[in-house]
Amino acid sequence: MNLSISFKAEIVENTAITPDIFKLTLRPLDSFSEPLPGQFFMLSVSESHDPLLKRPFSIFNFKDRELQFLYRIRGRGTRLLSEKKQGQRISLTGPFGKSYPQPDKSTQEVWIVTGGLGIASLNFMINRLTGEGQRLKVLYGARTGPELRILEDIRVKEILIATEDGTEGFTGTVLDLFNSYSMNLQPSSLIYACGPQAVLSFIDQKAQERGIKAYLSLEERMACGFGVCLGCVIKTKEGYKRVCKEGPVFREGEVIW
Amino acid sequence: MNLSVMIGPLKLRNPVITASGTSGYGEELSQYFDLSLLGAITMKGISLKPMEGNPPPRLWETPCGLLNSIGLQNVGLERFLREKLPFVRRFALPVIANILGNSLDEYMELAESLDGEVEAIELNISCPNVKKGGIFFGTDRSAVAELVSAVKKTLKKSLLITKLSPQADIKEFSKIAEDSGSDAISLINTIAGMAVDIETRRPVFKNIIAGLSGPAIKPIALRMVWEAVSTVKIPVIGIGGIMTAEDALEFLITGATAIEAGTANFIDPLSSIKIIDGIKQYMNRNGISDIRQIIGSIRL
Repeated sequence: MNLSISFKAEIVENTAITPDIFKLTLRPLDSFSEPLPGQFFMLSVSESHDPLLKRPFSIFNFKDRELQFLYRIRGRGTRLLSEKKQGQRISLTGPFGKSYPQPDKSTQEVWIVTGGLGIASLNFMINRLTGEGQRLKVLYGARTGPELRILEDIRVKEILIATEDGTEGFTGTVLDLFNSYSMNLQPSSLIYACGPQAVLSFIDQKAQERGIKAYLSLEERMACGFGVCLGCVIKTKEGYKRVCKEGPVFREGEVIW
Repeated sequence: MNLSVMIGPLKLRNPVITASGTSGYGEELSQYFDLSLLGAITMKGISLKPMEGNPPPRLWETPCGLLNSIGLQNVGLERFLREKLPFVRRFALPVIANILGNSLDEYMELAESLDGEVEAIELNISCPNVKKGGIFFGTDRSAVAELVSAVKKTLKKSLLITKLSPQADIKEFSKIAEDSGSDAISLINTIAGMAVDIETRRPVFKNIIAGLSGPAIKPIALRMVWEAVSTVKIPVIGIGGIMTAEDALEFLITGATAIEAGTANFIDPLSSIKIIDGIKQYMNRNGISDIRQIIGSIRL
């Protein structure tokens, strides 16, 4: 076996962008499979059995054989991860999950709709699409102005911002922003979205109403990340599906929210 | 170096088996390593009809452990035989089918249909995550005796392994399984556990009770394996929190003929292979040429 699904990597960078949002750059020390946009890796936050499970993280960027992740401290696992220093090693498994499909020929314009850490899943796709000359519009929501620092590496011409406290851009959530612009969506538009289920279900509903194609990337707790634990299922029109295996990217109209 | 072990008449290349519900039907793991490197593979629990499983949430991490409430989601007997079994049959290794019924008749039908199709049948009488069957059988003395002997009579070709519940008295139930004709026993299934969300004051799981696995349960599993090997003559397969070769060796030294790795597969799909390699290294380091010199070698 040349390409291992289970490997170690060295921390190149693990820095705070805001007090609770971190950027982690890893240099794999073994051979591994190159990830596609929308896929994820499972990262160990401890080399002991506590916490026991690896955590799923979307690939923020993959460049020069380095893997980049973006995460917010939300619990004990991400706190432990944030305490790791440059030069330390961590274990990974992956890449897992289905990637974002490419736009087809009929797509005139791509909309990227996300907020907060949802950009961690979409940035890699944005880079790929802009590299291919795809016209795209990013709608992004943050809690407050300073959190927009996570967008500093993102190179997109058209980016519409909303902050919940109104410190920058449109005042409101990304859904409010999406709502006020959605009349501009065309049947030839294509939406890529990532975020909490409440955000995705709203976008899903709008997309279906307007007959627009959407790719929605879900988050869920996982034990394995590759389809054997059956712990991360979501209800769909065809019964339970595994977010890690049949997802994390689903089509509009597929999920029962 | 000989790593092969015998579970009754069934020869395993090595004593490392993947546990039911942690390796699917082999499709996912086969993408990452050659399944035939394993001692055997145990299929996700199979019921007569497909089961949808429990509603989410299905997982909850605990210190050194994992609570699950999957609820035996599975494709059912027919699709297993048509789709899943032919796939895993492409690999040269013994296949163990874990079966679960709601009644004696259902267990019998499953056993009859799977006899000769798989090397062994593991009777699941110990799942804490389904209402009927499962643990309901596993803690009832006469029901276990009746079930094991009835299934044993049905089987002409496949070996019978009875998977015991940690909720039952292991000495008593391992003896019941042996006396009723089981060829081997495996233990333990997950231990019934619970978690509460303090903000909502609701149980985390809709079923309230879930199954605890992982390193947290290993000392209990090891004690129960010890009780079983001290009681019965049939082979005992040790299960419970085995993450590393060192864990596996503790079970083998205690007297388990083979082990099943479960939760470890979630954390690293290659963990079973790493356990096999680690056992080999231990044998090399200690000048042991045959794994049988390890099994039951505990010094008291």
